[in-house]
Order: sequence, then C-alpha cells, then structure tokens
Amino acid sequence: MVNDDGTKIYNNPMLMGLLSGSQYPCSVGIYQSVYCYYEQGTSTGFGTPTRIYITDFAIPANKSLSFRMLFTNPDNVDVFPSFTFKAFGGTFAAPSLMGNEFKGMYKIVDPYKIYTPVGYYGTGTCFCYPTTPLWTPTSLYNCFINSNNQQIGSYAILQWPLVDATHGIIGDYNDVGMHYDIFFMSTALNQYYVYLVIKLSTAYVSSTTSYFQFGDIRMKHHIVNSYNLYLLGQPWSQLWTASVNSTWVWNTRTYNSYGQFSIDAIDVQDRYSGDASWHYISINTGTAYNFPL
Amino acid sequence: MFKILAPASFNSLTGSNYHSIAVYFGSYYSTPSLNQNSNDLYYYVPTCQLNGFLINSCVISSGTITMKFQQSINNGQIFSVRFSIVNPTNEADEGFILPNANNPTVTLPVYLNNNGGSNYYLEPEPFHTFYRTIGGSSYPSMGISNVAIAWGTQVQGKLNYLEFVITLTRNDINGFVL
Repeated sequence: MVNDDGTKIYNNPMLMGLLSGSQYPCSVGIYQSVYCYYEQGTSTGFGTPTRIYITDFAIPANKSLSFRMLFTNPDNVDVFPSFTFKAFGGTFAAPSLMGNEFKGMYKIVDPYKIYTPVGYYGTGTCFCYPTTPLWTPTSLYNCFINSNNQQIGSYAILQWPLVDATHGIIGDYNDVGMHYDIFFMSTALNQYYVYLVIKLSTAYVSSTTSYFQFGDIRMKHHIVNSYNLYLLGQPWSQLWTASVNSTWVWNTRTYNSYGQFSIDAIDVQDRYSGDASWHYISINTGTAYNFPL
Repeated sequence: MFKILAPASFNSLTGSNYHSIAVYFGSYYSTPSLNQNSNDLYYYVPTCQLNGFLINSCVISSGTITMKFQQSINNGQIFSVRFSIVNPTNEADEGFILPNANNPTVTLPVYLNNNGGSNYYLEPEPFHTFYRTIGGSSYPSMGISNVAIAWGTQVQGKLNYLEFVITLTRNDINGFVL
C-alpha cells in the first residue's frame, strides 16, 4: 500500500490481523454506539488504501467527536502514514450505506514517523496479582512493571482473554469506570479478547511497588496464564507477557485460612464413549466459606 | 482519479506527436459552462494530471475528457491519472456535475492511444458516485473543520492506539470513511 507521495508504507496491510470485511475495533467512548468495519488495502503499488468505515454513532451537541481505534502501525520503517477522513450523509441505501452525499474531507498528512524496533521495542515478562480470589466479580489485577518510566498521556493496554478455543469461557470483564477505553475483538474462531486501555493521568515511575491496575476482570483458574500487556510509550512500545505468580497464589490461598470447609452437595456425572467421553463435577459449598460468585 | 498499469512502452515524444488518455463519461456526468472568464481569470477549466503533473493539453468534448501528453511511460509502470474541472474562485467548487444522484455506481470506459503503437480500451470496475452540493450559508463539503490526532507508539508493525478528535460544522453526517 503506497502513500500519496508514492512511498510504500505497508507490504501487508492487514490491520490487527483481521480479514478484510471484519468488524474493526473502534470506539467513541466506552459503551457508546459506533460500528466500524474495514476493507484491506492492496499490497501492490496501485495504492488502494485500507479503508475503515465508521457508522452508527451520535454526533455530540458540541459537534466534537472523540474517535479512537486500535491500529497496526505500517510494516515499513522511516515512512509516514496519512489519514484521510471523508464524511458522508444523505439518504442511505445499499450500496451507499451512509448516503452518497459528500459532506466533508480532512486529511492528516504524515503525523508521525515509523521507527525501527531496534532500540524502540522490547519484550519482557511480568506478574499480575489479583486483589481477590479467582472468579470474584470485583477482582482487580495489579501488573507490576519495574523497568521503565512512562509519561503522562501515554497508554497501557491489557489484552484479557475471555473465550479460549479449548476451554470456552475463561475470563470476564465488568466496566467500573477504571479504563479510558475498551475494545472487544475476536482474533480467530473461539478466541475472544477484551482490550483494556489506560491513559496515564500521572507519569508512571517504575519501582518494585509500582503497578498498572486493571479491573474488574476475573479468570477461571488462570487457564490462560500468559496474556499480553502492551505499554505504548510514545514513541517506543513494549510487549509484556503477563501471568499470575503461581507461588503467590498458592501461598495466599493456603496460608491464613482456617475453619471447616463445608460441602452441601457434590454432583458427579460421567459419560463413557471413547474419546468423546466427558466428566462433570459440581461442588456446592456451604454458605460460611462461599466466595461470592 | 485512477491508476493504470501501462500495457506497453509509451515513448518520449516531441513536436506535434502525442499519446492520449480519454475517459468517456457520457450522460452520467455533465459539466458547468466551461472556460468562463472574469477579466483575465478563467474558471470551470478542465484539468488533467499525469502522475501528479498538470498536462497542458486537456479538453472536454462530446462527453469525453481527453489528455494528450508526450512523457514516456515504461511498460508495466503504474501511473496515475486525474481528471477534473476546477474553479479557482472557489476551491470547494471542483469536479463534474452528477445529474442523477440515484446512480449509486457507474462504470466509465478508458481509452489509451500509444502514439506509434496500439490503442487500448479499458473497462475498470464500477465505482461509487459521490457528490456534493455548493452554495448556501456554508459549504456542505466543509463539514469537517479539524481533526486532531494522538498516537501511542511509532514502532514498525506494532499495536498502536489512535485518538482522533473530529470537529464538525454540521449534524447531518451519517458516517465517515477513513
């Protein structure tokens, strides 16, 4: 895909790994109505751009619309992406789904330069600790990063797994106003994530006690124990593979516990049918030591 | 505006020899009264561009806009062509007139003449007919007055988060194409 000046900026213009025609992760505010889908541009010099169609939003009274989206940066270095907004209105009917009257255009030319990953990109591993027991609706996760400072206005994004191809529903998210933005995205069949965006209102100063906090999120049993935490540092970025410190979880849930754990009922069902067999166990605990579900 | 993969080598020409590219728009589009003038200022002038460069010979006649040029183009080279009608007194007043907005898509044939070579007839894929109106208290085509951008990272090929603040001048916008 080439820019207006003829510079090739994408060899593979597949944004967010999504197929052309997919719904695209965009937002005009948390849980505000908007719908986006995208059309993948060409990888040849014909320069057919990648187009993102934005519809089904309400224009605020002050006529200032805050539009956000996840994005995949160009895969060539030392190039500049450009963004052209075209506004359409009028009567809409297929194939002009937003009307075919041209209402305006604005072009942002070369807003930022693409840097090489060398010196500007890094990876690492970190621990995220839940503040309450697993699968508790009010769980917060504190992700400790003791590596680098981050400036005001930059972003931290946690990709939290909700559905896994092997286990079905494994994660959960409930908006309690902790995040600047959220996106739900399916990256493959039965792979469903929520992207939780934090915009730093104060600078992040790294230390052994400083952390990014996300919530409310919870996960059953930490089946997926290596999820992605992206730090976008303007201009650098880092990918942290986050997991729960299993030693910490084990110690926390075994120490300092006391009392008799009561069980009201146990249901066990089995089906024996070769490799299609399944086993089901349901434990209904007594009320005294039930965790809220 | 469109791009073409050159089907042959177009040689560099001089004198009265020209290659030509023409688009037949017939009745799908009409034009204002062309080449009007106010003293020494001409407006509603056909304009043709080849790879972004204005071409001197640019004429509209019988529902066809034709550009004649002498530049060389290599066989297999991708080159861009842009046809329009400009009004220097009002830059919002540019382009052809769409008489019937109920034609959502049209297909316009393209003719190439390679001087000393062959003629080529191309039929591109249909494209959407977008239109705009001018006049009144404010120009509808100026519906976006500003777009500010903030970004998260500048690293090659990595996940980014983009924030745009789109400032509008009107409420009757159904959607954007980015």
